[in-house]
Amino acid sequence: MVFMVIFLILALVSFRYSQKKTLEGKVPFGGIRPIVAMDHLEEAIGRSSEMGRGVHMTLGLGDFTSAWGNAGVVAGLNILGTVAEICGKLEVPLILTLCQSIVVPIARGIILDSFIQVGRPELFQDEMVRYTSEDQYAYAANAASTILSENIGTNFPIGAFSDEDLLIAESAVRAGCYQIGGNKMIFVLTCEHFMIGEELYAAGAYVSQDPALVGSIAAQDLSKTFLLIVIIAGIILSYAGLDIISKIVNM
Amino acid sequence: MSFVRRELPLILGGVLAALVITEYYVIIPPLTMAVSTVTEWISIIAGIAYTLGYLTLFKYHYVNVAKRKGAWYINIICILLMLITVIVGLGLGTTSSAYEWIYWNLSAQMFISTATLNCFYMVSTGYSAIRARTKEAGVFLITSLVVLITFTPLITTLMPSLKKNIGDWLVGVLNTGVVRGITIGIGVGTIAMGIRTLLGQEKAFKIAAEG
Repeated sequence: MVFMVIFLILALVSFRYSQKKTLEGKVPFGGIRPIVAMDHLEEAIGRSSEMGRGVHMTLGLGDFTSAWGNAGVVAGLNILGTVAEICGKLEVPLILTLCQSIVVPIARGIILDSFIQVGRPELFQDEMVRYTSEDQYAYAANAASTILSENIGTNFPIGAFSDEDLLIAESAVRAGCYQIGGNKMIFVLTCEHFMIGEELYAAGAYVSQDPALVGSIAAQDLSKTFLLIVIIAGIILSYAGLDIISKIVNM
Repeated sequence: MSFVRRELPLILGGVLAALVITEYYVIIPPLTMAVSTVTEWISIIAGIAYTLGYLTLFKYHYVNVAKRKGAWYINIICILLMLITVIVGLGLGTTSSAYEWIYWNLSAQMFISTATLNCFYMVSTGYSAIRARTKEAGVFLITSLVVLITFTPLITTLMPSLKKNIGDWLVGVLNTGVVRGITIGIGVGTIAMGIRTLLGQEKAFKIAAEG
């Protein structure tokens, strides 16, 4: 518990420092790593535009009201803003399939806000955000059916997924979709680009290009480096017969 | 007005989140009670959201029927089923035999049918793996094949050391190590996103707060 509090305080301090430095024009701690999947967002949507097809995005089973998948859905919503902006600019139809009704008004707000930002609010329609069902497989069947029947060219399964992942992603493969996915390992097989681990949680900040948010990714990398050092030090010291690190971590 | 629409919801969200986090680390009875009340609010909001979701779904199907769009006759079936389920659930109760009949003979059957489709999709994805479209998919393919081969009954019987030295090592050491690395990454990413959300910097939270 004590280690957790210390880590949280360190993360907060590095976070604020990093944001301050980035706002001054210099990303600290050696800059940030590229997130390849996010670098291909525009290309993915552009492909749909050229083919005269639509874009489909889905956020998985994650729920705002429970701990499971909460962060995944928020991360997906953060990327949704950028996806909607590009779709607005290129006039590509966007469909968002959701299985959590509580996310519907937020998603609509994000899409409308993004369309307003690119000067195309008239493109927004309520039907773009489709609530399907809280039931895992009813949701997956609906998302898969949307991909196959609505002439979708690009699919973004980004969020918190469980066993329904393949029903959605493999349907998109059959429909010939270009896919960028996160955060399930199986997406390695079905998606052209994918995000693993913390990449998903940094992606929204990465694509926003907001200096404050970009700074937070640098702090995130620093926090991970700190944990890596603690782990390596723990391994070396435990081989030397000293369990000081494990004692500190378990305090 | 701008303060009420923008800053106030962010401040409220930040303060409530700070309370919940503090309660996790420090046990103070009044704080625990306050957090418990806040958690109950979530259930109430979720209940309201269900109604919103139902109306959204109903509107979607209704518009499709009105415009005769695509397979609109399926939308009629959906509307009818939704109405029947709600009427039976609200009128007779969710423990009534009629409601249970709907659940076991319609919902459960459709759930099972869709779930079994997963098997076919797994085979199809397995074929995708064989194509090894990317370097990562190639690594995935080789590792899966090695694990698959070393875990087959024939190999475990004839060459048990192969499973012990290669298969078990891949699963127990390599796989566990990688999964732990990813888990640590997810933890750190979630903390960073949590801080951004608490500070009102995340786009999704800003829009949610502004309504």
